[in-house]
Amino acid sequence: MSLSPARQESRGRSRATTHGELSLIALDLFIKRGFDHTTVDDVASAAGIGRRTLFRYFPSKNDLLWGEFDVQLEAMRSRLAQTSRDDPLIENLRSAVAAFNRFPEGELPRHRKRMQMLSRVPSLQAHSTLRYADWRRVIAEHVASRLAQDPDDLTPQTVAWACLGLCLGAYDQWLAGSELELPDLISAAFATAESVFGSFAEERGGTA
Amino acid sequence: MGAHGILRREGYPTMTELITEQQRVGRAPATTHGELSHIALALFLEHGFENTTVDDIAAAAGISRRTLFRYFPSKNDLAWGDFDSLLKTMRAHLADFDRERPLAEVLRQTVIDFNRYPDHEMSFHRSRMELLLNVPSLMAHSTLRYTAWRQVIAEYVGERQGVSPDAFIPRTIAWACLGMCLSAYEQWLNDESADLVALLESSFSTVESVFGAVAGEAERRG
Repeated sequence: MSLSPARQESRGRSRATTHGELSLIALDLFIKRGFDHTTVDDVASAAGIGRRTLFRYFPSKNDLLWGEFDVQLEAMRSRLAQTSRDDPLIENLRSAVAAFNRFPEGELPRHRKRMQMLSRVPSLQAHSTLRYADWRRVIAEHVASRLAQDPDDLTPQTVAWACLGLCLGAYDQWLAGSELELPDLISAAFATAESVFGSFAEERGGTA
Repeated sequence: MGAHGILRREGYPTMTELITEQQRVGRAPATTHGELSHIALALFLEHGFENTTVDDIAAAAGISRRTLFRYFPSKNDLAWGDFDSLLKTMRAHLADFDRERPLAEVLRQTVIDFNRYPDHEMSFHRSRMELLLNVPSLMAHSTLRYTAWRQVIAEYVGERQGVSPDAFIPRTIAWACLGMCLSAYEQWLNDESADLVALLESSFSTVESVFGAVAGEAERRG
């Protein structure tokens, strides 16, 4: 696993920077040569470090492609923890998920390539399932805390899966060349789900 | 993400109970599809997916390797059964719905109709799903299957809304439906006593109420 915030603090800032740098070096190699044609040794030598050192930061080649995902998950977790219970749950989720996918302009071309690889390279699919499960966990924990349920209960799990589906849908659209930016596509996906599924609930409520 | 029979598949012998025959080219080949998939699955469960070869399956079925490949182009496809026929049937099923019925209701009903199995098949279906969800090489293959499944949903939504299946709303709805199905499947596989149809029902209900709450709350505030 990559560095948790706790480890970053204890070891100082430079390690975290290195963690980020390593994933960028790896990503650039993956983009240039293709994911399957790049070895961990290639990444280590491009970074000027030993293979063993690299594995201390990233346990697998797949994790290199996901970069700072764990750090970003922690950021999403704290963002959700700070949301107001007076606001609708789904609105809090929408804004947190949109923020999670807001990248600096300069990083977007690289992020696009990363997501293209994640959606197209077969050897990455099984590993992605695990990373998506980590992502869903953050959502499910928040939903559970709002509803005083367990994160493994049906409602938190379902909402997390639906959010993931909406997110992947937005990415699909983005990779297909949408003019809109990722956070806007994500907000639009949530609005679509609200209008199609949410309005049905109202309709049924109204006729009951 | 795991793979599976988001839906009923042709690989199951009882498929004909639920699904109309008009889409089929003829009964015999479909039965063979189902039988072959059953034989393959039994071998996968006994020896493991990776340890079972296409030759093992052909031998168990008493047919040649080449004949087997005429039915299923790959070992992965054998695990899935005749998914293409299933999608075709699902497409026809969707087309039969009254256009006046709310979109969310049609989608929910379709997903449920395609996930009803007779009791005696449930344990078999569960084993298959476990395999499809947990074997890494099948998980990679499943991405393609999911895409094909989403396409059927997106085509229907697109048609209802008079837009391309590639437009934003059809794609988004298809992804949301896939998420709801995977959620139900995951819960089902985690709990021996769970009922798949009930889980799918509650998956859709949950999304309807959680996503519907925004409009409702805004109203109350206003």
